[in-house]
Order: sequence, then structure tokens, then C-alpha cells
Amino acid sequence: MGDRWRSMWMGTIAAIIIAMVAGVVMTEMKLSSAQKFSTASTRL
Amino acid sequence: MAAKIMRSLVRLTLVAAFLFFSIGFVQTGIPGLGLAPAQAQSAGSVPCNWSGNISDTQFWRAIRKGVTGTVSIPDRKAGQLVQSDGDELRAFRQGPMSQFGGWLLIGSLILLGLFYVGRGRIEVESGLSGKTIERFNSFERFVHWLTASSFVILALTGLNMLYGKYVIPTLIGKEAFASLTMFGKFAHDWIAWAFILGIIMMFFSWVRHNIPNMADIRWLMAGGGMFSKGVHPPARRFNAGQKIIFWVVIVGGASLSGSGLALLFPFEIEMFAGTFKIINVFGFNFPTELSSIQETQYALMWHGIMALVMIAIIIAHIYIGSVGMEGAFDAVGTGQVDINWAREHHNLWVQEMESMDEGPVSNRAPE
Repeated sequence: MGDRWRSMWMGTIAAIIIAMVAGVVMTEMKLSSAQKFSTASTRL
Repeated sequence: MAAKIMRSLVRLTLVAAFLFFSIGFVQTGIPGLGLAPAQAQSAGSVPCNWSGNISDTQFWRAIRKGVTGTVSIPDRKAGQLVQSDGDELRAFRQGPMSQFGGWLLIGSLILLGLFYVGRGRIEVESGLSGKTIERFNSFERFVHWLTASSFVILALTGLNMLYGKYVIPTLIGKEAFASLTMFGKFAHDWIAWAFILGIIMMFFSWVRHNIPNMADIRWLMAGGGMFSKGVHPPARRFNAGQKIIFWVVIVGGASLSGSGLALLFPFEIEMFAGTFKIINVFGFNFPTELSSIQETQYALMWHGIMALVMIAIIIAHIYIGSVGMEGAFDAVGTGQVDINWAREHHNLWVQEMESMDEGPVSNRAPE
């Protein structure tokens, strides 16, 4: 049973690790309110 | 008598004065009160020429219909005060898209249930031999599960965004549903990167085995042997059904990823105007001048449609890879499949492997 599901767990854990790294990176990328609502911003 | 005549003259004067000033106020407005004269717009012109010959009604109607003006800040989108396409998108998402998507998913489950009742589990007809052959190595299995697990999470969190509000609040309450959906949205945004990585690795791992050939035509003509016992059309490492799944995952996954990235980075990644230009070469008439907001709205709509179609197809894939066929799960479980299973479903591949000196056929006791 262990061998049968090992690949599944490895893939799932890898997906979660990638998601956590992506989450950290994307959170760091977010603009502050001052940047977001500046008239210089095109993402307003 | 003279007094009576005087009173009549005064009354007449007051009436005349009242009529005079009333007409004057109608023409120019009442000074000090700032009341606009209603009749001034009767000819379609507005005083002071601030908007030319456009009346307020015409002016606001044009804004409501999405007319775009000019602004001096860098964000040109601010020139459009009202964008009605959002209403239409919401009506589509909550109407036909949710309705037909729901029927698609429920219909898939019903069809698979009927197939199971009619055909039963597809057994290894020659029985399990105990000899196994390596079908997928550890890297291939890892890639499969990386893509599969991330897709399942994406599907569940995505379905929650589309249908959750109709069901889950009644089960766990509105506050819990709001928290669940918020965390689900974060999970959706973040785990999407694992899915994107998965389909890229899957493409490079398996594309050379998934090029269509004549054997696929024969396999499809025989219905893949799915509907009758004793029928095993020849197939190489991937049969035509698996190739269809592969290309659905690659092309559909790429489309989902592209539209998803456009939603993750709205107004920065825009893909629909360019795509429509290419499609219009084939005689279609899709709009090719899209605002940034329209681009995002098309991305949201397409993302949902593609996701629903892919979920329905992957449900069928999960069925046939688990309860629907004996021995199929081992291919992505341990990677070792029974040689009799392989000969029934992928006989050309087994011949290729056996003709190789280092053929990975092994002797393993059945579990």
C-alpha cells in the first residue's frame, strides 16, 4: 500500500511546496496602497 | 367708484407682474436658488454650452453605455466611468455557464455510472500473471501526480467559486463559507504554478509517445475495446484514448494557464484581442479592439468554460484509471503493471519492450 501511493504523495507534497513558494513570491510582489492608488500607477 | 377702479388696476398690475416674472424665471432660472430651467433643454441645447447640443439625458445615457473619454492620469481606463460588460459577464456566469456546466458535470457522472452498470469493471481477461513490466518510471509518476493533485485542488476551489454559494453556506454558515472561499482563492492562485510546471514537464516527458498514428484510427474504430469483452485493439505505449487525454491536458491546460495568468495579472497580460485576430482569419468576426477590462472579462469567462470541460473529461480519466479497469492504477501507482494487462491494452508496446535486450519485464509476486 505504501509503495502504491508513494508517487501520489510525493507529487502532492511537491505541489504544496511550489504553491507555498509561489504564495510568498506573489505576496511580496503586491503593490502597497500608496503605490496602487498613485496616479502614476496604471494598475489603479 | 374710483377706489374700485384703483383696486382693479392694482390687481391687474399684480397679475401682469406675476406673469411677466414667471415667464422670465422659466427662461433664465430663479436667481440665487440655482434652479435650472426645465424648458431650457426643450430644444436639446444646454445653457452655457458646457456640453454642446447634448442634453443631460443623452450625456448620461452615453456614459451608461460605456463611452470612453480622456483623462490626464496614466491609467487610461479611468476615462470610462461605466463598463456594462461586467453585468453581462455576471449574468452569463450565473446563468448559462453555471447551468450548462452543472449539467455537463452531472451528466458525466451519470454516463459513467451507466457505463459501469452496463459494462462492469474491465478485467484482465487472461488473468493476472504475477509478472510485471515497468510502465512509468518514478519521474513520470511524479510528474503525473504533481499535475493531478494540483488539478484536483484547482478544480475543487474553482467549483467552490462558481457553485459554492448555492450549497455550502447552508451547511457551514455564511461566515465559514466566506473564510473557506478566501483561503480557497489563495490556494487556487498559488497552486496554479504547480499545475503549470506539471503540464510543461508532462509535455516534454510524453509528447514523443503521443503523436497520432494509424494504430490510433484502428483503436478508435474498435471503440478501444471498451464496450465489448474480448476486443483488444493494438496500441503502443499510449492508445488513442490516452493520447486524447494527453492533448486535452496539454492544450486545455495551456489555455487554462494562459487565461489564469491573465486573471492573476489583470491589465498586464492580455491575450484575447490577438487570439481573436488569428481566429478571424478563418472567417469569424470576433472583436479585435478590446479594452483592458474586456480582456480580463473574456479571460474569466474562458477560464471557467475550459475548466468545466476539463473537469468533466478528467472525471472520466479518473474513472477508467481506477474503478473502471483492473490493473490500470498500478501504472501510476507503483509503475509496474501486470504483463497480461499490458499485452491486452498495449500489445505493440510490450513487443517493443521485449525486443529490447534490457526489457524491464520483471518477476514480481502479485500483491
